[in-house]
Amino acid sequence: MALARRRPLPPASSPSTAPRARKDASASGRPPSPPPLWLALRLPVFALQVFGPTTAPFAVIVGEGAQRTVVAANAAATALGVRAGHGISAALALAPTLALAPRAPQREAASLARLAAWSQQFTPLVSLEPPDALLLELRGSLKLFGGLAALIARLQVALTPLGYSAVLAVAPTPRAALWFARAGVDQRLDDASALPGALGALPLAAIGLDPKLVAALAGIGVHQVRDALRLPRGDLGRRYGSRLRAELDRALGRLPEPRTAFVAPLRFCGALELVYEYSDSGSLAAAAAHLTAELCGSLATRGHGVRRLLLTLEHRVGIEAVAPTIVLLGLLAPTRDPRHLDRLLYENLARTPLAGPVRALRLEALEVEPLAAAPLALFDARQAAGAAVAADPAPLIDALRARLGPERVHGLSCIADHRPEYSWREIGIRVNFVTAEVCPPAALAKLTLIPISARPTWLLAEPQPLATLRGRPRWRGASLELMQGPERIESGWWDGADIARDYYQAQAADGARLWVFRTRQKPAAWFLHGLFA
Amino acid sequence: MSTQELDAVLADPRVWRGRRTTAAGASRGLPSKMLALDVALPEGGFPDAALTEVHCAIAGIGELSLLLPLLAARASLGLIALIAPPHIPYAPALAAAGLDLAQLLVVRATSARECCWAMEQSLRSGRCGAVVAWLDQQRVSFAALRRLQLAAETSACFGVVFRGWGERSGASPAALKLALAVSARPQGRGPGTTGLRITVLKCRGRAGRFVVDVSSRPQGRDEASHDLAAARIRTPSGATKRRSR
Repeated sequence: MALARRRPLPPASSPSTAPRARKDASASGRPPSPPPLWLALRLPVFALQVFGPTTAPFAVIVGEGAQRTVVAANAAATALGVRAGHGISAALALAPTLALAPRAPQREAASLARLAAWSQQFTPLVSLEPPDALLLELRGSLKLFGGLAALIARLQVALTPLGYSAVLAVAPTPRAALWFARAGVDQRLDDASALPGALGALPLAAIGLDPKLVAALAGIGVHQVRDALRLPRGDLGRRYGSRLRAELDRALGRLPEPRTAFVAPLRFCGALELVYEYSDSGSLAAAAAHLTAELCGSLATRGHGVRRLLLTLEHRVGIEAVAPTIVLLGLLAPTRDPRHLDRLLYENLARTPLAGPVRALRLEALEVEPLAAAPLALFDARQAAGAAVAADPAPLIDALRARLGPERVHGLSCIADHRPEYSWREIGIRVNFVTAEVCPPAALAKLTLIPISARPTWLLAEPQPLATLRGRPRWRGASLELMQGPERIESGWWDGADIARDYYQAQAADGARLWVFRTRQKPAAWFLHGLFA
Repeated sequence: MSTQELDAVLADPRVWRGRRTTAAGASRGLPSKMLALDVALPEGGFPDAALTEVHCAIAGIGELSLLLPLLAARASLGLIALIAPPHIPYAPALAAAGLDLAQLLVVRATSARECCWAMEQSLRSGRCGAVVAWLDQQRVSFAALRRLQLAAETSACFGVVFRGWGERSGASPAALKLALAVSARPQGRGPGTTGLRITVLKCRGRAGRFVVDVSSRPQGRDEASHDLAAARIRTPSGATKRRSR
């Protein structure tokens, strides 16, 4: 993604500091930098969704012993009446089959970091807002993506496969965007002057303030941001602490709010702990799809494609501990197409015997390579060629190798050797001039210099001994008629696999044409070595 | 519907017009370089964007050589996929036949399911110039063959399946169905003169079965005129007639 990634991070300049900045800029003769625009991406049920896809009733809990309470419940549990805030006994009474998991802050932090790396494909400046939100500075990306509406539409489409539900809010200051997102308002505000009015309608209880402070303010009849703004600034600070005043000032842009830019780790490593144990490849592939979507997003950020992937499937731990199952995926050409990766993973999982039910998945990118965005053809390439044109065959070969195994899909090459067994070999398929093994063109050129008579199209893997009758070879109960030959091949003394044979083309009684030879060692024996198919 | 729209519909490989004339169809077919066969087939060769089914009486009568000139020509369009070949495809012989080895893809599948899957993937990928599969050791259902035929049609790819000799009388969704056997009267004694008798069991654009005798060697252009004169096409009634363009 060719974003202006080298652009220095814009300070979260506020309208009060902006005029000064503008004056400085005009003094130095440079155009003023545009004011930033922040998007808050908040995941309201992040604590639940970090556990991956769930179908049966499932809830995330906090607390210890009898004090455990539900913080989030999935759709199946909600349908049975389980709500956030329910005590554990109430929740289990409503849904006896409810699966419970304690809230996992470490996993939430890791998932949020992966989501931040993924979201850097839309803007270079992403800032974490733990535990469940990200702030994205969008001003520099608007032109590339064709405006705010188009950018948000793209973001929403790309978010879908990740399995998170998100609230997106846009405002000129990061604090305001965050407040809108926390309040669940789909705000798209690009005008700093309209900010006080739009913020005013937000309830103080919904913007993530300290509950004690909210209760104290409610006690004097202050319920909305608008009410708090109406209070005298000095009194507000003295009575409720400078923190509230500073928050309000930051939201309105009267105080700058510097944000720390997120720096993505160089190597992608995503983990997903499953709520239930899976042992069928379809469910595992569906779970892994969430990780591949994040992987592809972070690859797009760096303009990379993955060549080798490691998927580790972890089984039971403890007494019945089983070593994890490892799926290693090698690709012919680097890619960051999540659909292609999902398909390959699915085929690989279907082929891999599992040592037991799977509890957790870990996806690591072992090898990444620069992968430029594909240039679009001016004309449709298929149309131009008039027929199926030689497109990049890597996806097909990768798919075949994923299902059948890499060793069962190969190309062929000639070797400049007179011995029939050694004059060919299996090679990797050449793609985009990258290949594991290549027969050098020089060797091919040399081969054409070796004058050979007709060779059979099928070669038997092992020469097959033929019965003889009065010195003549027999095949399927009848004598062979030798049509052409002998062609003497005597070679290979230097590597211990030397042969000394006289080759003949022979015709069987049923009409088949065979390639047979007689060994020159005594006693002579006849062998079938090929078929003129 | 305007004429242009109608033309677009008729150009679709899935639309087949029964009474296609030989002249119009000739542009559609893929010439096998065996002139006798090309003249006999209504489309002027193997059907493009369709499945061809070949039943071979015994191995080693030139069944692969029959396809090699066509495969060599199709290699410029994409990969030539050989799926589940019964023996090692011998690279020097294929190279000598003009096939670009860099375009060759060999897939060693074992079960019928794997073979059909690999063939369908190859046909549908749009990356293959031709896909040849050997399904003679497996039992393949009509539905599986129908899937392959549909895959060849929708992605406009040329596909060939080799099937067992015993299954030649069964129904088939393929556009062309050939049975290969050794000619009863070899056209001479000496190397390379074994005759190949091609019985066309089914083909689009021509009713009834008919027999074409060819030499199992593909001819060069200089031999073509001679071959044309020698091409004898027998109709089921047994009447022998000579054909010329």
